[in-house]
Amino acid sequence: MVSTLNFEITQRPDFSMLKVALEAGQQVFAEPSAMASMSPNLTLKAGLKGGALKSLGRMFGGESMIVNTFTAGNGPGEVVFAPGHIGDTQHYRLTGGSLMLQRGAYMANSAGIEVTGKWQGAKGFFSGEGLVLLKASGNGDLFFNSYGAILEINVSDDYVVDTGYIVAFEDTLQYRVRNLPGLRGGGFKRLFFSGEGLVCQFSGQGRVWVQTRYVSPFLSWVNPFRPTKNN
Amino acid sequence: MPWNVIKVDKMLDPNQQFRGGVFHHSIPDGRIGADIRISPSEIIAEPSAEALSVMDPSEIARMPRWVIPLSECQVDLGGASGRMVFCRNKERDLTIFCEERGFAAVLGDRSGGMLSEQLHLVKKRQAGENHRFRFWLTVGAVATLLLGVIGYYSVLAAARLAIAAVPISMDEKIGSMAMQTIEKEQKLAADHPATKFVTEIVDRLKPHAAIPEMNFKVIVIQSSEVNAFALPGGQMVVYTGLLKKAETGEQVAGVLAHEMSHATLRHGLQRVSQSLGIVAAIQFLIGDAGGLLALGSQAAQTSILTSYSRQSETEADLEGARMLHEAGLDPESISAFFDKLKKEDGDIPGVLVWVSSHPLHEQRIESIAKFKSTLAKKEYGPLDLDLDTVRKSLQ
Ligand SMILES: [Zn+2]
Repeated sequence: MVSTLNFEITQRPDFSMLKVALEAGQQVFAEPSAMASMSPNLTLKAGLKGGALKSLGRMFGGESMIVNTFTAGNGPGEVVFAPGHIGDTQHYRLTGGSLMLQRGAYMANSAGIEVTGKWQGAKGFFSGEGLVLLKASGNGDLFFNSYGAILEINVSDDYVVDTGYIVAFEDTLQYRVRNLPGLRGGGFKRLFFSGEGLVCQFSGQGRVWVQTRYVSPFLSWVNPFRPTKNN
Repeated sequence: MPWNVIKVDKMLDPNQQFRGGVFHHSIPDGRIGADIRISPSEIIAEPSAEALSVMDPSEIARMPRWVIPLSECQVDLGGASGRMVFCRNKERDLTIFCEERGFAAVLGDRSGGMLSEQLHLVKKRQAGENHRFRFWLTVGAVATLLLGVIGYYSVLAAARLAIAAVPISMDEKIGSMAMQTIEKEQKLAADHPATKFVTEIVDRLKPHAAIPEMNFKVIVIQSSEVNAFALPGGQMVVYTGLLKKAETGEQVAGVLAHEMSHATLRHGLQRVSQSLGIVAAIQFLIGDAGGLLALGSQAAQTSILTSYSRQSETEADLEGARMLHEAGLDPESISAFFDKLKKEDGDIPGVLVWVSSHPLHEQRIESIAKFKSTLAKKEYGPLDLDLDTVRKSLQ
């Protein structure tokens, strides 16, 4: 049984929104902060999806433990999701395989998909913000978002992406987190806390989605303009 | 257990299906989820019901069965998990892949062991590619070991015991790695008076070091920073800013004795074990090398290897004082230098890196004085090396 959602992504790429039209009885699951508007006949249930262990995994992945479930009751209804920040939304159809998502990129999914925080071991842990992955598998529709626009790259051999720019990639790609000396300066501390200077080297065949902006440099750019407290 | 020795007796059901996928240019998006069977001569993949159910009927009609004869199948391992098996045809335009347990085993069995052999070679090759990361795995192992011991006994004492069991070659490897991350464009030549000066001091102090056979080396880097540090294994860096700031050769000797002591007391390794300990332990339990390895080269950064605890600093002071005493130099040369820095530039912290990483002067000056009073009385000679010439050469 495969759930196919009737959806539309508008205002791309900068201020994208995802509109899902649910049939009676149909469900969609989403990150709690993602909902922007919905029909009154939809019921919203906040809660753990997939049991405590999976939720724990999701927490490791940096997503909140709670996933909201939207159910269309006695008739069709509509729900609109928006990413928490400026950026694009991408649809991906899972047919039995898996998609690896950068933490924070998860937005919504149809029934039939399981999103777990795949504990990456040190691979994810060390890279801080850089690369903590969620794994979405099953059959159905998955939506993820980016900071900035999304670029889809078809990898057929080897490809290197700065960990800060990775949004998602297919499970057929092998990846290895590497330190690329000279990419950006920064010692141990920066590595540990921001993941800067790390790249992901992909090999094999599959697609990688890369975002056109990276959050961290933006934050450093904004930082001097923040009002500061004087003691 | 390697996948190719998984027992296959139960898996010889000719209709056993595996979930996987296919890459082929005829498929929209290039990829589709598929059900895979392995006959005695072929690998056969068909679009999965789920995949078909979301496809356009016109597309479904065009979806064939994909077949790769076992005799021309080329296998590879990969995917995000590293355990996905890829089977390619001779032309390499069709790929059938599967991550399910038992797939590789059945594949190997059906091909009369031929594909097992291929997969085995792939595994070996991948292991080879990971070779250069093994060193950091070893560091991880050491750190984990340390962590275990630390948990069992008390923190510091056990760490020292454990470090004592690690060969010095480990210090040297970590030190060399860190050395590679240091900017050496401004390095002075080996025959520069400044380099010769500090090398001569190190050579004189060496016989009195706690580990005299340690491979001490010192380089001088042109920089206004008043700084010097030792890396694990005994490689040292002195900045010209420090040589300009020092008043006497003895003061330079004091700094070097202190830094050499950090190396012989293996404070760098202690830092590594403290910093990597927990993370390395987690990582080790999970058995995933990637991140630790990525971290490895960064962990070798000097900042972590050269900022020590207060206790380590005091230890290095006293050990350095002992070395100076043995070498016939005044142990209070160490105090003299940072005393001078403090008096002169106490309120310009930025430039005086060596001082800012070496806080609490009074206490240290005092403990060095106390320690000196316990040593046998001795006439300390002046260092017969000319710091003035060195300083002139740095103008
Ligand atoms: Zn020190």
